[in-house]
Amino acid sequence: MTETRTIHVGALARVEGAGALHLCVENGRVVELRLEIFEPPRFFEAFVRGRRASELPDLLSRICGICPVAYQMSAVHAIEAAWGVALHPQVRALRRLYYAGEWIESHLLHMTFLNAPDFLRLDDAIQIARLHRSEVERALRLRKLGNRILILLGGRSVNPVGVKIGGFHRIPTGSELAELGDELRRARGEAEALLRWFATLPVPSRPQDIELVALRHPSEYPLCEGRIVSSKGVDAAVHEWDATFEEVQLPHSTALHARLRRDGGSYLVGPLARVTLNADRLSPSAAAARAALAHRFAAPDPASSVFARGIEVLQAIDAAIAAIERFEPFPAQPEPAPRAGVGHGATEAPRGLLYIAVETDAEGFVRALRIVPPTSQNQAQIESDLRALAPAILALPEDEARRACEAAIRDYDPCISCATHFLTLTIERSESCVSG
Amino acid sequence: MRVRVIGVGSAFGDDAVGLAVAELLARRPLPAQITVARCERPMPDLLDALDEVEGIVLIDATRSGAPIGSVRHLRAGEVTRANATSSHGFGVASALLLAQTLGCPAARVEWIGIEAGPRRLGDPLSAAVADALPEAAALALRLASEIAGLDARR
Repeated sequence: MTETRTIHVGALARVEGAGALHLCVENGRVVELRLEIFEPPRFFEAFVRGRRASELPDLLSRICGICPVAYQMSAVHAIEAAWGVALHPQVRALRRLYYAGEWIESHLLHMTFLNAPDFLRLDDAIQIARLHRSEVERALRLRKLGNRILILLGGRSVNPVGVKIGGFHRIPTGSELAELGDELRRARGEAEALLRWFATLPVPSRPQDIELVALRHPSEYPLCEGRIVSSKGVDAAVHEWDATFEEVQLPHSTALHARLRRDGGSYLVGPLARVTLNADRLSPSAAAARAALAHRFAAPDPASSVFARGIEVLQAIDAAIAAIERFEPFPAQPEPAPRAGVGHGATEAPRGLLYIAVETDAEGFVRALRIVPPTSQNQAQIESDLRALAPAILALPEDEARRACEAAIRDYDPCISCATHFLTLTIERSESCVSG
Repeated sequence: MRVRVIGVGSAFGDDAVGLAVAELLARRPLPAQITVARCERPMPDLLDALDEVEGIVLIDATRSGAPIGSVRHLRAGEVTRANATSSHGFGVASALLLAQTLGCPAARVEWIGIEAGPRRLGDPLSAAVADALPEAAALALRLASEIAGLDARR
């Protein structure tokens, strides 16, 4: 007799954007599994064609309310590569500070508001606030600091507008930075205490064989630069992204799935990959926090991502302090001159590697833009994780099984809204959709 | 008592009405006890806007079936925690509830709703909603003055 069990989560809760999960198991074997991303595509890549490249930092900041800096950073690095712009070292340092602000804000939002309810078996952060008020307040204080950094360099925290090709529209004063540095130094202890609290929570464990992919810089923990490396031998320059990975359209998702060209395999980008592949680049306080949680990083385990985020909050605080301590006033930079060309940028968004390729004409107008966000790269890995998880949840009641699947998906902090820019209508018409 | 008037909204057509009212008030001379803030993202920015005030007046677009542009002083219980399933959908009421759970000192909360029409990105306010701005601003100022213990006519 065939025993079939279907788990359908119509609308995934506590993720950024709209998605669903369909899982069908027959005689203990997964016969259908689809992470369905049905959020409509937004066609950013198409509608920026013909716009000035200088508009991209503001336009792409609108892709995401949680990780706008990542889009700005990958875009300006791609344009600067195309135009041969040499960055002033202080601009480079301020970009690390700016990006650190986004990491702090995004990681704390996910850890406290989206992930923690899973570990505490509560419905939302409001219930956590009732039971663990001081931890939620601590997380909110830290998050606010991240917000302050975004406002200082981006002009505002939501869809910031301070970035331009070659630098920032406004450089903070020495005293603004000194004041921020003092706050960051005080925040380090708070971030350590918050991570210690997360370490006391019953966070599950799902170690598995995953290829981890992240940037690696010769001397720093990666943010804006580096080579793309993996735990299984990938070592590629940013402009070789296309030679290393490929994107495919699947009928059940408005986001493209990325896979390795080498063997068609899935891979994981994000905090877990960064913390594992760049353990030797962590700041002293982040390295100490990782050492205290070493057992959670013995093998790749998506459920350990919450700890990787906590470690990266410390890393971001230290990177921000380092940028501020090295700051010296510098002269206004000349406006970069456009030229015809193609440039590639890859930076580390809170959720993982974000690759952008841009082609401009000699007047600086965008001829083509390509965006590969981290969630699109993680989709195949999320499905593979759920496939592995399925046998363990079959015996659970319906609600529990659904909850376990949703919690596993949340470990990746998917930003579905970001990922759904890619639907090509031609391809969709040429394939029939699998019925739910 | 310190009061903050908080305009909530986004750049989607009439959904920007809360922001527009806040901008209108911010251009006026206001008593020292009354400040104005804009909030484009309830979670978590509304939490920041609740700092150091004892009362708030929230202004947001509504969709209730009333004529477009109608301005209403909403009663407690009329605002529900709808669509609180993602950080994108963590709405004003949820953010407020979280703030109150965390001991936010804003003991007095008043809501003003302005019925919205079309909400398309980049569109200006519809004429009916734009016409309602002075009425909404006057109501916000009256409520804020009441909470602050001031005479609104001054």
